[in-house]
Amino acid sequence: MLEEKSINLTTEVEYASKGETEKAKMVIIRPPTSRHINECSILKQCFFRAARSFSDGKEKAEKKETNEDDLTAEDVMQMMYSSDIDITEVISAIRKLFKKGVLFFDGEVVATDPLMEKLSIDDFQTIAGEYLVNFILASALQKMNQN
Amino acid sequence: MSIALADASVTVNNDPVAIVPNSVAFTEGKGEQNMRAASAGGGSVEQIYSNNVETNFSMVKFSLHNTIQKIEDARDWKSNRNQNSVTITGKTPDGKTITRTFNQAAILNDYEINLGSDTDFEIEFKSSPAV
Repeated sequence: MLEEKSINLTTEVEYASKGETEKAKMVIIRPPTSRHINECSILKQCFFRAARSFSDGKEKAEKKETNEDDLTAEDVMQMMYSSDIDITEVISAIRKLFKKGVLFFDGEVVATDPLMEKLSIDDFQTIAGEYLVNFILASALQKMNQN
Repeated sequence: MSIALADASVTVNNDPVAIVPNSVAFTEGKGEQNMRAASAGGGSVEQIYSNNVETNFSMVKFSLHNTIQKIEDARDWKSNRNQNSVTITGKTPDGKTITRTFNQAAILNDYEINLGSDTDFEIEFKSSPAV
């Protein structure tokens, strides 16, 4: 598993650091630990529900041609959005997870509610998708691929 | 009709702070100016306007409830010296917003904490002029 991954922001975010206002151009995401197991479990469960409804649906034929190992952040988020899972549950779990010391603005300032509110929707979805692909679903996707 | 701003949200060092309602106050940090008269003779005066830059600091203050978390937060901000950043954001129901950021903010006074069932304590930062 990756130790960390940096993601460039399309929209800069103002944050406070050592008494000054800075503008973050990137964020770093770090892997979860057992401290984050509740949020990770919810996200994993939501993903598998989404994947099941996705494969049961009309996209079944298309999915067979797709290698799960190639899933991108965008694919995962799209799968979540197009399924019948409660997407607000996913967003809420992601926000809670990010506040627990896994998302850092400019690699140093831990995410808080006011900072996440400044993220553009596109950036938030990209970060969420990257987190799911690289840290929460990585091992599960590998196993699915082996089977 | 205009709507007065009364429930601004406060963040200190990126963390939201729940405050006692109606307790936020700040100064813009534009400082004090002085106006003196120079006699030009014949009863006329010339205006001498000056800016006292010594007073170009902002003040932002608010009250907190005396919970252990808030007391510890205040202690951390005090220990941070002038390395704090305070932001006040206000939004009225008609959608108008105001934001002021106070950088290099420090708590200069030795604030008093009142421990009672119906008490709170006031925190006052002095900072660079608000932006």
